[in-house]
Amino acid sequence: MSDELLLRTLLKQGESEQLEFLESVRKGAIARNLCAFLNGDGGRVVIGVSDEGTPIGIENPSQYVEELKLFLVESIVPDAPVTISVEELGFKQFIILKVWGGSKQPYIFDGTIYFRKGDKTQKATSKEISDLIHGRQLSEQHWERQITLGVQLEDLDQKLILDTIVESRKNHRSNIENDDVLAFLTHYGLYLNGSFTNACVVLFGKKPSKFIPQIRVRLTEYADSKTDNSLIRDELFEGNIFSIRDGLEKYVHGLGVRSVFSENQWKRQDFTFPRKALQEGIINALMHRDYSSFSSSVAISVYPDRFVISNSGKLPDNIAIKDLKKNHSSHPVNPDIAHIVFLRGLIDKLGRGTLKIIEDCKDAGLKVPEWKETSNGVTLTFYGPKSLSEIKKRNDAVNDAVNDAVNDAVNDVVKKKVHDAVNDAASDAVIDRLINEVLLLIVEDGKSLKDFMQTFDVARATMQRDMALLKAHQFVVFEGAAKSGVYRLAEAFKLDIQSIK
Amino acid sequence: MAKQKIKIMLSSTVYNSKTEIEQIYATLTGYGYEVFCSHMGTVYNVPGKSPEESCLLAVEECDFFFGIIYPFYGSGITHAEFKRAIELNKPRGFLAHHDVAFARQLLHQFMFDTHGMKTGFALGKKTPVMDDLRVIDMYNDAVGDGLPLNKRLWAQEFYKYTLDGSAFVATQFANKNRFRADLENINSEDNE
Repeated sequence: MSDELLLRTLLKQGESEQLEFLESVRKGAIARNLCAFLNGDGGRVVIGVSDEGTPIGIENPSQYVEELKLFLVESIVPDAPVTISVEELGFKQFIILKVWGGSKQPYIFDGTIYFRKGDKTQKATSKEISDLIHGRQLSEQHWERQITLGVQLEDLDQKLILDTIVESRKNHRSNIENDDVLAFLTHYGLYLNGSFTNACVVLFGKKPSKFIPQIRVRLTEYADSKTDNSLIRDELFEGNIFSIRDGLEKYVHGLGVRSVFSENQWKRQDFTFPRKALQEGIINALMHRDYSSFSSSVAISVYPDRFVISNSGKLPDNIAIKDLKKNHSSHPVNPDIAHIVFLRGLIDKLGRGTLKIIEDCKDAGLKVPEWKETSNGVTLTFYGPKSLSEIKKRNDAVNDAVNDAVNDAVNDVVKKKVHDAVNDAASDAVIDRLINEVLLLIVEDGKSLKDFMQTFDVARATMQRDMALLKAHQFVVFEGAAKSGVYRLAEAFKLDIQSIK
Repeated sequence: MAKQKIKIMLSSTVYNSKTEIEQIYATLTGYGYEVFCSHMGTVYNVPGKSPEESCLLAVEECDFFFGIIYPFYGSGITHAEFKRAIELNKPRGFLAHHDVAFARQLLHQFMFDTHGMKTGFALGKKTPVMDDLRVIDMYNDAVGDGLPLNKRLWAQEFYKYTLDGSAFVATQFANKNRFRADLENINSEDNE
């Protein structure tokens, strides 16, 4: 689901327990609603929409973002991760703010505890407050918040903690003023009564596997299939969550171009795994895994045509595999760990990581990655490219449909014109695709880059090149904002075509 | 006409527990009380008086004094508020961190001589778990240490407020009407 589609879906849903519309940027109203969502199961505030769900848009939304970040981090107690993004729909712009359900209730704004009831935010009643307090007692029993026995300040990477303080101050995700390590850890609930919590050790331990052996991540690269006994690599990563991530990131960086052999076509196919998607998959696995059992683990297995992240944990009770492919709002498995990962700027939009993964893979022309839940845990598998026959079949279908809709005379003219224009600049296959792109616009004017990418099943970069070429030769023009605009037939070319029709 | 809100004085040091104090404040106001809390800026600052004097006047004005004893001593104003509340015999209740109660027993032999007089024993240095033994004095003042049994109070212990202290606040204050009736009972007994 693209960002645009998400916004459309939200507008259609209307205000609810987890969604509030505001017409304009009103700080107090934003904070009240987020506070209520934090006291519930999370939710979103969309700014630029009337109560009834009519998209109005706001002028120059980016100017508000940093100011809002600072305001919210100051005024909502306790601190909670809030992501703020500017989204576009048509020619209008909107701000979306999102929070997970909190784990440190009761959340307060301006000295008051707010609560969401249906589509309204109001002051919490005495009973609701007492329920929040009792609920909080339960979340305090989470593995993350238990003490790791025997850990001393020297066992933590204090430079990493200081870096986190500085980074979070810079990106406006915290308002910690001084560089006191213990005060910082206390503030985020990682240090209490002279002891450090499990979350603290996972995040900042120098050698956390000494205390929490299950933190280790195993990376195995197979030359062929799993039954093959030649391993290209077999490595154990065992630092804190950030050093494990850095190690894996380095590995992902070095992955390079891979090839698979397609038996059907008797042809080699080269591809690369989209780096960002792999990174997102890795940080998600590290952040949302179940650490609570000594036997839990994360393993990464790399095959010539697959990249598998397996996580022995379970998905949270309220999330099903099918929800991962949608946009999910919920409670993170390890809220304290997730909060610090957020402070370090490694989470962009809450609950959107899995969607980004899917989009990146599609853009790269790969099969859609797959999440599976088994009795042993959850796996995420990235696959190689779609088979050539699959791509061809789809392209043929599009071509047939377009050809049917356009009469032969037009068809011939377009073919000739495109051929003449880009003859030297492109291969035959590209020219054929360009012709079909133009024909598609004749049938249905106004298509976004994404529409083209999906229809012709090519990567973003490829389609960008196609469109640049068509634009340079005055077949198409681009209209609208960079993100939400569409390609249309150029007026002069349109007139040419109409004269034939 | 609606009855006037019951005024609770929330008296506590704030070091390392800022968030908790803010949550307790919001909980009490959410239950329908008026809360005096210097950290939240709801203690009236009497013109011409020092912050300490203003806080002590708030103690006089409140209907109920709610003190929290953390293992960090702060400026001493909180301790002065405790003493004033006790001196005025305000209806009162206390939450105390387990470490204070524990240290009180552990260090008793050092802090008092055989005649029960204070020895002046003090911490040489602040520690991450307790920064001043005067928090033990606060505890002793709160519970009426050394007084006859019928004059003594108890302080509810907690180790991690959000786990084992917050329920006390919910139990004690959620039912505002019951609390009001009990306060009125005390006052009428006092007047007899």
